[in-house]
Amino acid sequence: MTLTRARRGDVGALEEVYHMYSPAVFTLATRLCGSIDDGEEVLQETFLEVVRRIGSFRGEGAFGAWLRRVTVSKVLMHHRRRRSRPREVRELEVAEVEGSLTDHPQSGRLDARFDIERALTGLPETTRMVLWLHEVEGMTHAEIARLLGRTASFSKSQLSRGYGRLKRWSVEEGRRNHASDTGRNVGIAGR
Amino acid sequence: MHPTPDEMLALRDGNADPEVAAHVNDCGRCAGELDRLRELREGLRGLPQLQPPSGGWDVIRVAAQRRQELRRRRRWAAAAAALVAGVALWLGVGSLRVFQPGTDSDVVGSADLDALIAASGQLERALQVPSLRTRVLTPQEAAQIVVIEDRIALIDLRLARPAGGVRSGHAVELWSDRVELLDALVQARGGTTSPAVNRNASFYEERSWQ
Repeated sequence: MTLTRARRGDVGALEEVYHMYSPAVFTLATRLCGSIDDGEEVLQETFLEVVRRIGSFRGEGAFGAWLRRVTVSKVLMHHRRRRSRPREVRELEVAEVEGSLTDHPQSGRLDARFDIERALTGLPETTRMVLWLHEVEGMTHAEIARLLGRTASFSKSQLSRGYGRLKRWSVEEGRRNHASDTGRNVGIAGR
Repeated sequence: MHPTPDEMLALRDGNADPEVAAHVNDCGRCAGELDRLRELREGLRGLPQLQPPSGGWDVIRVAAQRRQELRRRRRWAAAAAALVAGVALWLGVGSLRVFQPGTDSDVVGSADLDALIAASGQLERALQVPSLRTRVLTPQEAAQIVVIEDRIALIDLRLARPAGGVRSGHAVELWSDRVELLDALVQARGGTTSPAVNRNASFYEERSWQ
């Protein structure tokens, strides 16, 4: 009912749609872009596009899925326009060394203090998008490939690469935490 | 031989080769990796939903209200045009031209048209400058931009008529309007038009006063 009114351009209905969906759009945009500021810009661009195009939404699929496509396409446009990356992110990437998931001698459970949110923002934008769309949004590699204009194999390799990086960072952070815990314990024992 | 990352991810998602599954079952390191993959996914899924900054709707509301107003005006204009056409038919006027832009004296050379199309392209490129496209707009700016974009879209619709559907004089008028609107759009987005475009703009301004 709200959507029907929104499609006719009813401002009140559009406001309901905004309040209902803006947290999901903002979260998706921020996770895909890796920054709150970019997420805010994409949120605005997405809903301006909704205002322009909601009349063309035929209701053949779920509105949420349509809105997600609009959001992802706005994120892609945003990435194309802003190719320069924040310094902190570049540093993370330079320090990173490619590796398979199993070639590291230390494996096992994830360190509880591993900051997955920060690690996510440190991934290259395409890898981050694939990881989020596949793992959280539940999209298939074929769907991601269509959105990105690439192949399903590309999407799969980006997912593997993303996990390789997250794994490496989590192991490194685990080691750092372990070393700092050991140092603290030695200090306490030495008193 | 340990499984590849793709094979490990396939195993986690329940699509593994039986040989890979058997290996992971017997290999402590790979079993640990599988746990880690599951935990990373759960960690990603467990990240909280973010709340958008307050005031975001204000920009969208102004744009929506402007669009609603435009739709209303278009409906009235269409209804009025239909009424006029209906009355004309009833009076027996055979070929009423409701919309007759320009006159034969407007016919200008294709060089003018080319220059306008080039200026239009130049402004489109100016709009792609990252600093113009990536910033949060005020409600007023957003509303202004929506109105300008709507007018450009209307012009594009007219220009997209089949070949021969737009007379050359009329095409020049449409392209001239398009350049003017794109120029306004660049400025609304906080940019300045390039000197070349400004030269073109002043050239067409001078023409319109002749």
